[in-house]
Amino acid sequence: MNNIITKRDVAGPFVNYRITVTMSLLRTLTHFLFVLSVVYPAFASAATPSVAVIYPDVREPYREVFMEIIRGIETGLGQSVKHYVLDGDDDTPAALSERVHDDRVDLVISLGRAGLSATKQLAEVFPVVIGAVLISPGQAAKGQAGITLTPDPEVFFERLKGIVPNAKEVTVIFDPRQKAWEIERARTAAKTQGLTLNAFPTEDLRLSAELYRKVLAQIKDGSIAIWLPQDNAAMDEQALLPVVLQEAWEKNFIVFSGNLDHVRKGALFSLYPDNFGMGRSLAALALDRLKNGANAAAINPLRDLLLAVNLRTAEHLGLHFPSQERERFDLVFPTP
Amino acid sequence: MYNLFFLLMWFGVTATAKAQEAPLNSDEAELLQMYGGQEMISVATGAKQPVGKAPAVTSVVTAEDIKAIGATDIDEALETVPGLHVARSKDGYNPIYSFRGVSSEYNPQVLMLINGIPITNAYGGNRNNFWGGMPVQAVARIEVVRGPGSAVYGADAFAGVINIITKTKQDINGTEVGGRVGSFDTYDGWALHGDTWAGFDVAAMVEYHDTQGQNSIIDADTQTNFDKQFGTHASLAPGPVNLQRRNFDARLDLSRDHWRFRGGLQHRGDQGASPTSAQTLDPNGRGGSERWNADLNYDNPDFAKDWDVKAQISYLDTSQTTETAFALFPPGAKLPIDPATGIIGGGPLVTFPQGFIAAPSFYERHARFNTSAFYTGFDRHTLRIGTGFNYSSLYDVAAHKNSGINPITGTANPLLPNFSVIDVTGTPYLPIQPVDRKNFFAFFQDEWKFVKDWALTAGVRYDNYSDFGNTLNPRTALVWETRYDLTTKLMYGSAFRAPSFQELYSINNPVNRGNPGLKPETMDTLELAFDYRPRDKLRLGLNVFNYWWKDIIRFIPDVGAPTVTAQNTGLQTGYGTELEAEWQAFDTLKLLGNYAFQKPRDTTLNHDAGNSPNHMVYLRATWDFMPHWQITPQAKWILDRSRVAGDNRPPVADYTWVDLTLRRKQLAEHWEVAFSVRNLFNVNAREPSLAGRPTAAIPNDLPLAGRSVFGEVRLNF
Repeated sequence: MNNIITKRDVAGPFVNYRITVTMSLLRTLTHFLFVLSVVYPAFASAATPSVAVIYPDVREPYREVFMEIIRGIETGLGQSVKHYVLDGDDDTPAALSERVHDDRVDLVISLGRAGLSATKQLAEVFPVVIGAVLISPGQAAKGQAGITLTPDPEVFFERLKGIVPNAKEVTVIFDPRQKAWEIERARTAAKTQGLTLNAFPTEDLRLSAELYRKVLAQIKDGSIAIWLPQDNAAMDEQALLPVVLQEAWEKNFIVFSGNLDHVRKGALFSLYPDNFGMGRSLAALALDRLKNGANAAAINPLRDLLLAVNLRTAEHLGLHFPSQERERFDLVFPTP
Repeated sequence: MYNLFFLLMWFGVTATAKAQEAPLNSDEAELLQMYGGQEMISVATGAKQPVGKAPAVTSVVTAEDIKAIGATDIDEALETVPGLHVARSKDGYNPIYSFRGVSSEYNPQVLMLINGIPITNAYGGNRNNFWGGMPVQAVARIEVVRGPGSAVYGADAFAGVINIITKTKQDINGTEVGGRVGSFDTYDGWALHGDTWAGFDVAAMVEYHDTQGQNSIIDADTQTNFDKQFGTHASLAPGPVNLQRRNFDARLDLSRDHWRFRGGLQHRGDQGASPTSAQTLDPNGRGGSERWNADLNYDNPDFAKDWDVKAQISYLDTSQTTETAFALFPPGAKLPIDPATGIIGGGPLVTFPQGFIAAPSFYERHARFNTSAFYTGFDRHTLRIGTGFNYSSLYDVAAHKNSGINPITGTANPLLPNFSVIDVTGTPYLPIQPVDRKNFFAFFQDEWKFVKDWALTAGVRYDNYSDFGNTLNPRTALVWETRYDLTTKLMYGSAFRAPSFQELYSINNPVNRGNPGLKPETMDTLELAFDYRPRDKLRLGLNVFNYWWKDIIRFIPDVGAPTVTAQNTGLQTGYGTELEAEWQAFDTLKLLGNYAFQKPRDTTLNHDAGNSPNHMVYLRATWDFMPHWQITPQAKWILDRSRVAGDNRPPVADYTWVDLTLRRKQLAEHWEVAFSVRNLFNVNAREPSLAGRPTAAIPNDLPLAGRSVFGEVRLNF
């Protein structure tokens, strides 16, 4: 601080007054700055928590999926996140714990199966949100929040009614070992949409083939839709799927799927992950988790979904879409 | 029974496939299961653009195909298209893209586009006499349409359309640097960069190519004949061809929202062109060319309710120049010179101590504007309308030569004492005077889904040319979604080939006189096509076609005069079939093959049109035999090439051309190396040379390169 006592001080009371006012102004200013320096960081961290994203080391094109999710997370948080890549060195739970502590991370978002297993121990004592992994709510630890990769059946049925308003029944043949919770949720969703859900469990691939033949034999018109949920052990891709799709063409009924490739092969539509949207939802979940604690934490099915439609199949089924509706299709097939 | 067979197949397939699959970690496996394939993941994340719907039957050669087969020039990629054979012209081995037997020396019957913009040179109607090849690192894919496309593309979309699509930021996504060393002193280098900058998606690409070219021997040339006739020893045959070149290509692609700007340069220099246009050897002449291009594109699929609008404005500056004059006949040649014209004809024998020199240069600029729109407001109809304007100008011509008329004396130059090379630029003695052409066009097309599983497309394009008048070209297609796994198409199209400036306005060459009264060539094609996909991993295609090619422009001797003038006089019809198969046999093995049969007939002479192979077979396998390793053998059989009518030489010998490429990807994560052998079995493959009287100038045809190799390294980061 400058010494503002001038030669004039000796001279008179006017000068003394100026010095006093300035000094007290400076003192106030310093006090204010001090308070600010303590309070501001507290504000800063409360507004935008420090988040780290743990994800597996994968090659392209898989990597781009995780990068899109992370971009969504960063947009949702309004700031960039720390990247913890599980590339083999320093992946032990202890090392992770230390890193999280050293980097002053408030919450960890784990992506992928590798991310899930790496943060298993950490999740017991630290806020972890899981994403980008196929997990049923029962498989997650208590108090763990997250979004599974399984699309929400509610969205499926909403879209079905949107594309095919005349649809009345949905038939699904599923493996109960993985899909039971999803089908339960589907039952509720079907009621809301005014659809009848015929769900047939089977743990045997050969039995599922027989079930399909029975179902296909009974189909008379296009009011029945066959639902192929994602990652379903009850669907034989090589032998059974082509038969189902061929019958769908010949008998004019709908097949919709949770697997994008099925649309390329001829299924009418599919929902696939909106990775960026998923990232934003994970960010929202993270902020919520930090604010409200672990009490309301739950694993939710994926609602951030994009729509792929096979136009050749749609034309064949007599579905004509005006251009505004077609604009809402995120991906269309066929491509030559 | 069928299902049992299929189940057994399935067991066999997965058993072998598992042995060869690259190990995936559990997350990759989970994502793979969910999306159904790596391809789908790329499409879903936008890393890969799904190819748009094409109007006709399109063959697509992707960047992946190009890398797998070890192609270093687009010609090698094009050779894999069914029904297309890349033959060679005597002019420095310029490529002749021969579709379904439609073949001619300057090959103006094929329309080549880069990103939808024609690169036709109006002078020859071709891509330039010093074309110099085109490298492939900047190519995202090549779309080839066989048959007529004038209803959409206008002039010269005749025998076929080749559209080369260059890479965008999404295709590159990062940086790639690479280099290649190969036989014939070939050195290539390239760098690609894709990034975002100031809200733009930017792609920048540079490629460099330097080669001495192959050195096969030409046994005898035109001068050999003249040597016999006039007792000289001037011919340089037998001697090697000269196909050296030094090329530089640069491209910039900027895009944002609905706009895309592209700019590029294709510089070809130090190019040897031996044999010359006179079918003689000249190791010293050098030519070059430059193509500067810029285009601005607007593409808005949501322009207004039911309207998808595109607009494009483009500029192309293309020049072909002679850097070192060509000796069309070598030093020491003695040629009879017509005193009236100063060129070869009836007259005294003159010795050319420097050789018969010709050094022409042609400068053109092309400006184009077009706009088109899809309208989907009518239920079951998809309308497409478009209009545009093209301006083509041969704005400058330069020529040095020592034949013809001397502008100063007005007499035959070679008959002057101590005659030398003269500059006829700016004089009436140029091979052609600067000239331009304006073209206005409009087209309309409707795709009408009139009944379930049936669609009828009908369209027509109107072109008005300032030089030769109007032409109307319709096309129609009936598409039947026959079955779940089968689509059938019946197509009819009419196309036109605009006469080139050379054919219209060539002067001062009595054996090559232009005819301003020429009409365009026309071609009508009828085609039936089947697309059959009995399994998800197997695609089969069958095409059957018949075309009628009329008003073919040929240089015909005039009646009652010693001159030869361009006339619409030829007639050719052709029919044939193409069969293709693509089979992803296992996750790690893809097989591809095609067979083409064509019978082109010169109707006026009632003889096989000649030169094109009646049968072609192509086979290739791409095998990822170990993680990160890929081997691709490919073979092409060129069979049954007749000669043109009046050519008494034995038919052109068949040949089988085999290439093999080995690639190791993701070496230390960022590196990729490859090694390739071209013409693995070192066969003596030849492309037909022109017929001649009394004998062909190059009797033993044009030899292609013997076995050659290259090694390549690239780095991605």
